[in-house]
Amino acid sequence: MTTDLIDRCEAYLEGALSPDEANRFERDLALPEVAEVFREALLFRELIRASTADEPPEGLDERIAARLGLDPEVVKEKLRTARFIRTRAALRDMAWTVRGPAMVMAPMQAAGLGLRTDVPLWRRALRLVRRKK
Amino acid sequence: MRTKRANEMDLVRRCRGGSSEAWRVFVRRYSPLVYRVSYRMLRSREEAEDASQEAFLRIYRSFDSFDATRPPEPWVSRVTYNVCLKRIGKAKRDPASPTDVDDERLADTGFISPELAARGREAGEALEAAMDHISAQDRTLLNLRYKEGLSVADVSEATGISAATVKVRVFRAKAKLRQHLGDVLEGGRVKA
Repeated sequence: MTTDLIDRCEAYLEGALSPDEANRFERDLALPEVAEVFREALLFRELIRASTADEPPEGLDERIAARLGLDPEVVKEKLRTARFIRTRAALRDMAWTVRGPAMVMAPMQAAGLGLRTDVPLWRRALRLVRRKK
Repeated sequence: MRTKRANEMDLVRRCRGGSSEAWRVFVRRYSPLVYRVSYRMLRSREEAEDASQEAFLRIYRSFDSFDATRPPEPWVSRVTYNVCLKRIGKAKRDPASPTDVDDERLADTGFISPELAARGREAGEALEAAMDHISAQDRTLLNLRYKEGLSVADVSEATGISAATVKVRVFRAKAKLRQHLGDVLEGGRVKA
């Protein structure tokens, strides 16, 4: 039994032979030696494919998904956490946006200007300069 | 075939994008392959399940290293194969381990698990018994080649063994199995 013959059998079974090669192989099947190798190659495939001992147990994919943290509940929780973190970060940024100018204005408040909205800031600053003169 | 490939590439792209739904599909699609490779190497259902989970954790964490232009089977098989090799090595270093899966010991005794014996399928039992007479790596080569239908090149990629060596080892493993499957192979058909 040569590996070449086995290779031809395997290639034939996988449809990897060209039509000419396949025809030649089919003619060679009349030879007992070729027929024997072919029968065995076919049987091996059948046997291994038919084996059920290595079939995965029920629910394996679910258990793997759970292990990877892909459970719908876990995913929902992850999304909730991510949303919370994003919202918190946005609020923090917004707080700085408001608090920043407020802190800059603080010394002016001490000078009695405060944060009045009815008078423009440039006018209030001008008044302060005039008062000091 | 092209559609299947396109679907695979789309799935890989969505997995890379972090879609948990895509990951669930990926797990559903490839867990049978991972389990079968694990079982063929480790010969224990519990061990195979643990190894499958470990293999998927690795796949999940190292998914960026996967070449998306290639089909996932060889890469998934390779990760699983390496996880199992590591487990076998660990079991051999630690003989007290309850998860000992020393395939040489199994080969000596011709061990068939009670679970298999209860199946009552003579051909299947004979195959399983015969499988115990070959090494874990050779079992994996046979499984990848014939059950999963991978080409020699893909089996080579999955195991890191050269294509020429894969062919020789598969040939020898089959010859060894043939010795132990004599009755089953006799007469040109599988005994019922």
